[in-house]
Amino acid sequence: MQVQGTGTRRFGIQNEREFDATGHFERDVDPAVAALAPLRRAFEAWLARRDISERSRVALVLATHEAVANAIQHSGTVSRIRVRANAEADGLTIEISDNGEWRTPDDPPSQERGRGIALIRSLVSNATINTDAGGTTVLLYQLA
Amino acid sequence: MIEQSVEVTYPRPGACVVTVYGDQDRGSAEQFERQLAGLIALNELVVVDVSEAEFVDSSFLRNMLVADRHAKEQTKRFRLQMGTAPVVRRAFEVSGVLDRLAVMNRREDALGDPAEVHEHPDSGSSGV
Repeated sequence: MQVQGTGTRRFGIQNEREFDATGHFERDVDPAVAALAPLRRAFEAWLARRDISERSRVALVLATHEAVANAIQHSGTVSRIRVRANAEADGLTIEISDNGEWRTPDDPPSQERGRGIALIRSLVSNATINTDAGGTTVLLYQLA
Repeated sequence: MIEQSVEVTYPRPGACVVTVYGDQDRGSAEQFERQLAGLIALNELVVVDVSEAEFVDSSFLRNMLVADRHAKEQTKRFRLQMGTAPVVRRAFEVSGVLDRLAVMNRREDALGDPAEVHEHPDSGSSGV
């Protein structure tokens, strides 16, 4: 059963839809830092209902946060960010997509900057970033 | 925002402890960077205590590296007091930031004299 949200905004989260029974999570998030903490709480609560270790849960919350935070930080024309997760027996896939084009950072990455993407790659089994005219999609995969 | 708070105490002249509570993410990072830079300029020793933090992200980790660099440039001391929250510990470990800072698990060690303190990230539990 799909429940379509009413569009009411609550702490930056729009169109709340969850499908606990089938292992799906989906949220639309405003491109604003204030939306990060509520998203983390909601995603962590959803992960807590899945059969995954605390170590994986911690990694997935942090990696997803970093991907969304990057989209917010570099969101030139982004108007919304969608977070979707799908839990299967052999692993968990998370897709963070936006409908805009990321701004290129003004300065080159240093040891102090650009840690977000490196952190994501260290936390999950696989991470890919795809950008096209329609936006940017970060795909994270964690083996069970 | 309640989730992002910081408390500064001065256990002795020239030394301050910055205890961070709750969530530390991009929402508080810029302000915290400025606050740390000011505290390092005014003190000989700055300890950041993350034992009460529940979440830190890459912007907080970056601030720790920047503060450590500022302290070294001014021949000051910057130390991290570590806690046990799994997500905080994991962020420091996985990012490699833990290996680059002077890390203590106890407040008395963090405030100790450098000659008497074993400044190696090895003074406590679970691989720190």
